[in-house]
Amino acid sequence: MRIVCAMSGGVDSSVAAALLVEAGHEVVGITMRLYDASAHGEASAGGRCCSPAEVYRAREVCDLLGIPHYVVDESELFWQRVIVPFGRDYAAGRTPNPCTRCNQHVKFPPLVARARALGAERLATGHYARKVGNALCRAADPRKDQSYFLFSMGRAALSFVEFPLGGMTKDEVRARARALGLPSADAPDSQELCFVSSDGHAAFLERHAARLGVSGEALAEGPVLDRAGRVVGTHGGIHTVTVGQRRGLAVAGTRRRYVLSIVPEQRAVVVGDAKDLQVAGLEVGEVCDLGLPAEPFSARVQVRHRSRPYEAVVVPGGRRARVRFQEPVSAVAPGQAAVFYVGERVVGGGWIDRVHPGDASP
Amino acid sequence: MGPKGGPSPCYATGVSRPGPAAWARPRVYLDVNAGLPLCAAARTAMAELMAEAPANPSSIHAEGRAARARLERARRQVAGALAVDPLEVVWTSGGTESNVLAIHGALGDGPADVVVDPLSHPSVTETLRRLQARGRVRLHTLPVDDQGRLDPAGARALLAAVRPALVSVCVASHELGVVHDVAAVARAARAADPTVRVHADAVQALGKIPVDPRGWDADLVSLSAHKVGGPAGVGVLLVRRPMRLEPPWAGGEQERGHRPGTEPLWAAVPAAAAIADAVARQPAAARALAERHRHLLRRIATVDGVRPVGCIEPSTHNTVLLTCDGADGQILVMALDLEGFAVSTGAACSAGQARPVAALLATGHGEAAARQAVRVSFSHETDLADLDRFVETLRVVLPRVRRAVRQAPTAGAPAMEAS
Repeated sequence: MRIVCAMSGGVDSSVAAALLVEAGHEVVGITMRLYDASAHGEASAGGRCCSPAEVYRAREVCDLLGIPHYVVDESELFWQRVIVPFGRDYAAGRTPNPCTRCNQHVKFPPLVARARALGAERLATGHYARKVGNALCRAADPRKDQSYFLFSMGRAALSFVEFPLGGMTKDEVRARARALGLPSADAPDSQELCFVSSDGHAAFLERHAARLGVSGEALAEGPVLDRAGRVVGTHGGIHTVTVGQRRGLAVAGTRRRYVLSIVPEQRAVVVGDAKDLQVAGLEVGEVCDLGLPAEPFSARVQVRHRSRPYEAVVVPGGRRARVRFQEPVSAVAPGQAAVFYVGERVVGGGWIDRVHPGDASP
Repeated sequence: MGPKGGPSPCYATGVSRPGPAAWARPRVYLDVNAGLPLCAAARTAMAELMAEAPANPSSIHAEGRAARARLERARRQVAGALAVDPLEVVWTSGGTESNVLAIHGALGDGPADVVVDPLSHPSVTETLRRLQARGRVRLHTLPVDDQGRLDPAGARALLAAVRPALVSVCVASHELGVVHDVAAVARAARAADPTVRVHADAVQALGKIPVDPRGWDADLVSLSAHKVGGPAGVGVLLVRRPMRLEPPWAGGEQERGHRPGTEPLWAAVPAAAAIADAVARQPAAARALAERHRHLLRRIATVDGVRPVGCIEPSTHNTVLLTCDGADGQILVMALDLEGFAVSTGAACSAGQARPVAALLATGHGEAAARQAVRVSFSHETDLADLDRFVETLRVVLPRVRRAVRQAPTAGAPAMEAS
């Protein structure tokens, strides 16, 4: 069958395409051009996902595999739907998750539509996740599992996609890439955001504040407060801090202080002790449904990419949901995604917009 | 694919090299304006040249003289085909260089008024815009109607008012196939100012309509070899006497100082063969093209929401630009490619940016229409049955593409933002 494979130029999507070719499918590679650093006056984030260099590499791989390759430019959509919300989230004291936003708004729906337009029956990506029936599940390789980033892709997209790497480990993927002679076989995994250059996201936001609709004032330095509201230091802008952060705060005293919360109205950062980071529950908005039960249900809820999931009860309520943890969870940042797992399966998730501090289960 | 829910066993089998695909479809090439495959005359000329292994045509010694003789034979071949003096033939690296060399070479350092044809290739319009941004050119545009037809009275009035130093005419539009009357523009320009330089970009005219530099009274004429079955990377700029070019670079007296750099003998010889061939077969080709043009337009009229633009007389009769309501030109090109048909959205672009068709913007059709268009360009040898198959495939593919556009509006495309 005809399958469109989303090609980032990296080793994972290259091997995904190769596997599909080997399986006898008519594979069509598509690379989305999402961000051109030089077009925004940025030092190139060279070699990251979807940069011009990676587009070149994806084309090289498709030539090697003998499959057609097309490049589509979605940089305007990426700017509007990923980078602008990224800036506004930080300015509002939240910690955004741009990769998930990208999957939700830029990658899956437009690519599924394009794949259908090209007469394809499936869209494949190099994500580490598995599809069991029409359920989204964790990948076989727990260290590479990316199901957390995929909760917002939507049911329509999920029914159309394939994840050829879902049952493989990264080592197996690399071995396959070497056997195929893929140029990207031993390239390091990208860890950074594709659009932020080496001086970090804060500098990026400051350079582009005006175009992002963020006032310079919102990014100015502000007070660090203790839980009683006393000023104990200063910070370099609320966009430079994240809930749970310990380093990089100019706070008097020798005690270890952690960022507990951010108060954008006062441009203030509230710090406290590790025990004060404990969260008993969450409120989640923009809930995405990949099979949510209608009634409250037990789930394991993951609140960061690199974190274990925690036992909780999820109370669904349309576009919102409440989460009550069985045990306190530390350092939960508004703006991040809370993803609900039942067993290995992602049944849904949403964006954290409020946390309920507390160390006791309700 | 295997059972859902994980990799099927076939994912895990041994490495295989990609072979000829089972889904391979017969190909129909309808992107002739982007280039023709190498013709027999050019292949023969290349093979002969390889056996000769010529030296540098500018060398004094016997080997150099032999190479020079070969180069000049090619030059005379082109001159003979176009009824110009061999000394007026300057080898270039292709249509783009011919256009850029003509513009830079014809203009001095001071700011100059230039009148440009809005259907011109980007190598003309973008070069002039860049010069305008640097203050070296004041740019004026010839008036055209919504089908790309030149407005003769408007053109005369503009030329009389502006009295430009250079006027650049697009003999045949690469996007619409519309033919502009160079001779009329040249007459009007010279009536306004006898010192005007007239540039004619005949890249898309060659082989389709008569190319007549003398009859046009053009000072500079651009040609490209690979549009008529020569190799890519070589072209010709006719620099008609008494005009002298001031090339933008220096370092050699080759081509009588018009174009410094070792002459591209390897490319020039097959280029001359292809150009001579194209000119010789042009009258027959024109009749065959007109038949195919009529045929395609009749068939296209049966497809809902598809309108040809610029199918007026005079024309090259080989280019049909189709605006497809509710579609996206770039996706349509990809979808047709996968079904075996090579068409384009206009100017070739590798960066994936869906650029609107410039001729549609220039003729006032607006950004939305310009993003919904595909260009079909065929040769005198294209099968009528292949054109029929193209129309039937378009009929099948279009609804799919329209559905995708409705489902995934892309930012930056106003046509889709409305939905």
